[in-house]
Amino acid sequence: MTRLALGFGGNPTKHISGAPEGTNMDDLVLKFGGSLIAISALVVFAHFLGFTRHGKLSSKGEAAHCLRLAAGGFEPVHVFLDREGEAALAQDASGRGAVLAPHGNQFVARILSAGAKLSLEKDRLQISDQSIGLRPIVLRFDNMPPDWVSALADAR
Amino acid sequence: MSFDPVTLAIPLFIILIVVELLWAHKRRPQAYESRDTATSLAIGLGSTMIGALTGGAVLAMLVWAHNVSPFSIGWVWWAWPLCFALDDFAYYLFHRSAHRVRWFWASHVNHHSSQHYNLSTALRQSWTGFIALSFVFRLPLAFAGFEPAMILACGGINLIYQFWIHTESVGRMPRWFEAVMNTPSHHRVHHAVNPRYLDKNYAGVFIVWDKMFGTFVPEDDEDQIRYGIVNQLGTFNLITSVFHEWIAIAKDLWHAPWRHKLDYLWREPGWTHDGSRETSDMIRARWDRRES
Repeated sequence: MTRLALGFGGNPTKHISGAPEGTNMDDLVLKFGGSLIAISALVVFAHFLGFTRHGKLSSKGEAAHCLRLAAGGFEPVHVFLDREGEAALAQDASGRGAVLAPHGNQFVARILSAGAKLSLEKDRLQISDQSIGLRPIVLRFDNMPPDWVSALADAR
Repeated sequence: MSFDPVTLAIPLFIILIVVELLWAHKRRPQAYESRDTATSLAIGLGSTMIGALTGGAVLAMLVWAHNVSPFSIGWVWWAWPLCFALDDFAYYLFHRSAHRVRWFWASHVNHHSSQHYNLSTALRQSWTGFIALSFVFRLPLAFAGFEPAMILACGGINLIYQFWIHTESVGRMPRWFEAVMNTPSHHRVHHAVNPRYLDKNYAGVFIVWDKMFGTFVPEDDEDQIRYGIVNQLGTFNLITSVFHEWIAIAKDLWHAPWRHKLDYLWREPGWTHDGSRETSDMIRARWDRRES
């Protein structure tokens, strides 16, 4: 077979010793600026179309499905939903707690650590834990939550 | 070298994202989240910039491999389809390694870190692929005698193909197409965190590699897909999204006993010397026990 020295549309070996066209700083800055404008326009367009809504859990079944995907494994036996379906608290057979924390219009399942704090007030339950970051999760309710929620809160 | 198929395709990417946004607005509002989209696009921009800076070095290594090789295929027409098919196989091997070796996963994970599956997710490309030495998977093609610029062009076309499959707007393609090609359905499985789907469907363009090597799983319409990673990030922070696994590796290396330190680099993601976390195989086994 014949060895061809030429690259595609030019000699690629120039990329070894000299600055390749793709790394010309003016080109790079131009590409960066243009791309930044395009990205900003797309994000503004997405915002304008209303892709900023909170996620909604439609049922305890949906919440249980999400909770089963928690890292380390979690099999909920009790699930307590926020009034608007914007968060959930659950307990497994061994008494461990887990939450579904809202993240954009999706949810993140986290198993609560031993240091989690659950504070039950008149119409809301506030949950703070290192596993869910700095911002506490708030579950709002109309009727008093079931006993297992109160027991979980009392234990912490 | 003036031909860069990915750069040429960027206007098409933008148009298709706009079309998908309009579709999602009408049919599937949960398919997009503006902050998630911003993160995806910013990761894509960063990846493009870093690729421009490191592309010369990658090309130089391909040229070196080509020059030391006793073979030279040249620019004959049949080299193109052959190079494309072999490059896609190299991509399969790279991609499988990127999920099974934590060192490569640290670079690849940001592509999976979104809980959404849309065309903007496709642009979540690696910033650290060069450091992770991802390019070594393409070197055998240069040793085999393929022209370096041909290899890179095929790789670019491969990447462009993979853009359109990152969508929920397409259900199934015709049966013959689903049988041979990677499709939105096959790739949704790849991005899923449902235990039965973990570490499956690694293909780039041709799904046949997964069928040949036992890593193929078809999409089950009864099993609602959840996207992202096993331990969801829960943040839209750009830097966290890109570097979180590298940081986690550094922490594990610091705390691990000496005899296990290297294991945290080459073993599969989730592996720990004390069994305190789960690999995808362990998650699947736990799930299978629950189902049986």
